[in-house]
This record gives sequence, C-alpha cells and structure tokens, in this order.
Amino acid sequence: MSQKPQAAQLLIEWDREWVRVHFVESATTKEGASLDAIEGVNGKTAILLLSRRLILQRSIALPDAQKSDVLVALKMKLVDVFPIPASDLAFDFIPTTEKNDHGRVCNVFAARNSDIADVIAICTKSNIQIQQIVPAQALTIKAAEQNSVSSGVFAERFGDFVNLDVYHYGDLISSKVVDLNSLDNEISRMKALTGDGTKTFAYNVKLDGTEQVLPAPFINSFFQSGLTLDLEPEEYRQSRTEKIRKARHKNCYLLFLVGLAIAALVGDDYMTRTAEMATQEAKFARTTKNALAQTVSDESKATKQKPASDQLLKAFEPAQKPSDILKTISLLLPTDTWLTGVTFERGKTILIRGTSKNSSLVSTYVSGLSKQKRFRDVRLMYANGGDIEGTPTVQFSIVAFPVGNLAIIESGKKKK
Amino acid sequence: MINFKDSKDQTASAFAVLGIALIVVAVIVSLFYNRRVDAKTYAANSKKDLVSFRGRTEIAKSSLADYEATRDKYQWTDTEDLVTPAALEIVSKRSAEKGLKLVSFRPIKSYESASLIQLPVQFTVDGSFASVAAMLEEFEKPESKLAVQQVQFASQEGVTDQVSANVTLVAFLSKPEPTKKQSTKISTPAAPATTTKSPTGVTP
Repeated sequence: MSQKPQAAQLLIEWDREWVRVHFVESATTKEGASLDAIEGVNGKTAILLLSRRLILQRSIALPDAQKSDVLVALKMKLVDVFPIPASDLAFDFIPTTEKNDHGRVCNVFAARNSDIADVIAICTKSNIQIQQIVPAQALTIKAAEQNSVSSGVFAERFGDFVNLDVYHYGDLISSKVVDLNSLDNEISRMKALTGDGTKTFAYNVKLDGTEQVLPAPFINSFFQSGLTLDLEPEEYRQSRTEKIRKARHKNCYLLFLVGLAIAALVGDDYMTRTAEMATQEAKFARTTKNALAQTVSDESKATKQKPASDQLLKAFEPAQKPSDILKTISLLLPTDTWLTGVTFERGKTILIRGTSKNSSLVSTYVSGLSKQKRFRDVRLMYANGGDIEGTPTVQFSIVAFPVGNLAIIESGKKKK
Repeated sequence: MINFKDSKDQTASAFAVLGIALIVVAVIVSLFYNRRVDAKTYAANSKKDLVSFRGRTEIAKSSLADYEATRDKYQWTDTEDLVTPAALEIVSKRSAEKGLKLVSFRPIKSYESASLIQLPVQFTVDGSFASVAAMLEEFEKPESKLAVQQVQFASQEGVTDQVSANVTLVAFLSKPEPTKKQSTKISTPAAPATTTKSPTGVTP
C-alpha cells in the first residue's frame, strides 16, 4: 500500500491585490482582495497559481533530454535569461512542439523565492496545504494548444484587473496584468504586435465586440490542462513531505495501538470466558461426582448383600423341592416293587434302593425315571436276584441326578 | 501508509503491519475460537449423567431391598446358641404334627462361608414315608427358616410302610460384624471401699 497524492480541493490564483479560489468539489469560484476574505478555505489542500505579475517568463531553446537533466542545464542558463540570480529563483518549464538548432523551444517560468515564501506563509496561516505551484499563464498556453490558437489574445477579468496573454505563431510573447483604464490601449497595442486575424478570447471583460466570450475563468480548466510543472521550492517540498511522512507514521503507530488494544480486549475476553467455562465445568463436575459417589455407595451395599441373598435363594428356593423329588420317586414305583432306602442330598445324585418281584418291573421303574424331566443320568447300579421266604425277588439300586439340585453348603472353615 | 521501500518508513510500516495482524488475529479469535459459556450444554450433559446415575442407584436400591427381603425371609438373626434349641422346637413340633417319632436330634459343627454362617442340624424320625414327605414339605415353607440338606430313608425291618428317616437341615445365620480393635489400655478397676456394709447395714 503506497501513499497516493491527495487530490487538491482548491485552486487558488493568487496576487498580492486579488485572489480567486475555485472549489473543486462544489465547482464554485469565489474572489476577494485577500485569502482571508474568502470563506471555506481553511484546512484544505490546494494548487496555487501565481499571478502573472509574480512570474518571469521567456521562451528559450533547451536540450531535448530528460527533465531532470534539462533542469540542470536551465539553472546554468538562468543567469543569461533573467536579471535575478538563479539562487533567488524557483523555476520550471513547459516544452513546446517547436525545435531549432539549439534544441527544443520551451516556455521557462520563474518566480522569486521570497514571493513564493510569502504566499506559502499566507497559505500556512490559513492551514492550507499546497500541493503544486503553477504560473497562472501556463493555463492559457494549454488552452491555446487545445483550441489551436496560433495568434491571439486571452483576456480575463481578475478583480479590478485584467489578465492578458498574447500569442504570436504559437509563442507566448507577452503575459501581464493591466488595470481596466489601460485595457483598451493594451489590447490595441497587442493586436498591432500580432497582426491582422488575431483572435480575442475574453472572460468577464467587454472589449470591441469581436471577441469570443469564454464561459468560465481559465482556472476552472486546470485539471483538463494536465500541467505538471511546479515552482514549489525544494525546502518547502521537503518540509511538506516530512510533514506527510510524520502524519503517516502517526497513523501507523495509531493502527498498531488500536490493534494492540483490540487484541488485548479479545484476549482478556477469551481468558475470562475460559475461566468462566472452567468454573462451570468444575461446578457440574462436582455435582456429577457427588451423584456418582452416592450411586457407587448404593451399588457397593447391594453388591455386599448379593452373595448371602444368592446363597439363601439357592437353599430355600431350589429348582425342585426335595419333597417333590421324593414324591415322584414314590409315584413312579411299579406294583410289586418296594423302596428299601432313598438317599437324597443337595448337590449330589439321588440313590434309590428297592426290591421287586421281577427284573422287568425294575426295568420299567428305571425307564419311568429316565422319562421324567426331573431327572437326568438315571442309571441302574445293580439288580441282584434273591429270595425272601421262598419268593424270588430282585434287589436293585438306581442312581439319578435331580435337575437343578445345587449344593447349598458352601465350602468354608468349620467354625468350632 | 505502508511503505517498505523507503528506509525512513520501514519501522512505522512494520508497526502498521503488526497492528493489522493483531486486528486480524483478534477477529479470527473472536469469530472462530470464541469459547462461549454454554450453561445449557453443561446442564444437559450433567443431567444425562445424573439420570444415568439415578437409574443405577434405583437399580441398586431395588436389588438391595430384594436382597434384604430374602435375608429377612430366610436368615436367622439370633446367635447359634439360640438357633439350635429353636430348630429342635420346630423339628419336634413338625414331627408331632405329622405323627412321626423323633428318635434323635443333634447339631453339627457350623461352617462359615464368605457371607453367612451355616449351621446344620441332624435328626432321625420314624414313621410312614408319606408322613416324612409331608414333614419335609413343611420345612420347605419359608417360616421354618431351615433348608433341607439331606434325607436318608431306610425301611424298617419287618415293619411294612414304616421308614426311618435321617434328615439334615441347615440354618443360615448372619456373620458377626468384625469388631474394631480395642484399645490396649487396660483401665484400672476402682479400688474397693475400705469399709463395706452388710446387707443389714451392720458393720462386721
């Protein structure tokens, strides 16, 4: 991002006895005896057009080279051109299209440094920042070029005076400020210099009636003229540049401070929010932790009670009650078959011993027990033939495992 | 405003760039890293956890109530010294009710499991098979608080339909709470009075 020159807000045509100000934004023009008499100029940027009375002007041939080189050459020549030491002059030039043996013909303009210092002081007093200092007659040079005026007179009312610029075959041969009383004589004299067919252009001045009336003063056409010459002294330019630089630096540091302040505010806000979040997190974590502790405590109590409860349920609420098992054993007993002994123990197989009149009844009994869903692994251990008081019998022994018959005595140490 | 080509402007330009960078960072932080305190989210998360914990607590309390009900239902609260005569009384009563003859009754050494004390008692009754089965059925009711551990029937010699039944029942007792270690300091008993009075109040 580089510094762009700020567009001038004012065009000031300045003379010690009269001032004309053109306000660029509103496109209005005001005039007065001094700059102080014109309102609305304070604090503005301006391009200053020095009155013809303060400008020395000559047409001379200069080397056709770079402007900086030409300016060096011009400084050497100034002693021969103007009757004032070059060190006391601010100068610049406008090249023409004409060339001769010595180089390109240029319109050279110069002004006393003291006059420029005066006008700068006046502008500074009104807080006006000057961007460019231009000789006022330079505007008619451009106007003559743009209107293809070879020979002619440009007359422009300027307070109680009239600005006169005279062109002969494209050269500005005279430029002056005259009072109204001597205007007619001056016009006649100049026309005599330029010869017949001279055109006359006038703004706000009534001449012999042959003149072409201009709608606005020349100052209004400054931006169309594209003038780049500048009579601003180097010291003033440097001072102005330095002033601009300081203002720019001030803005840079201000930008830094603003950035720092915003960053500090955002950082503080971020830290505050983070702290608030931590507080909230801690608060909810505490609540959750307390609830969890209560839950764990309750679960622990339940866990402690569970083994005893499980053992009691296993003992008192078995899958099959012992009485049901015994009843089933008894009910399945075939006729002519008797039980002699039954041993039932929790967690173990049941042992059934008995006597029958024949082995087929024993077989029927075993088969009946096997078909019962209450028992598994029903096995006949033995069936021995015998004799009781002359009657043949069969002594048998059967083992079976009652389904769901779990042990209730847990292994442990004997208490006493 | 920013010009690094001119050495006189470089420091100020650097500060300006730094200022812009700070502003950009601040804006980015504000827009994308602004940790807003969202109490609702916290509350929702916390509530979710609390609901979960509450559910677990309810399950635990319900289970605990079930466990305690089971223990109240089946477990003896008395000591072994009291349980044994109570068991004898129950056995005697049930035997008499079912017309059985109680031949013997004896408690067996108790066992201490992880959570309970198991106190077996063994008795022998004589009578019919059906009566013994009916008596066992009575023991299986929760009121008796005696679980049938073992039953041995043997038919009696020469007597039809009569059996001798050897039954082992188990009573479950709660384990005593572990006592805290008592202080080793032994308190000195108070010295006897130098004079005593006879019941009649006459000094011997």
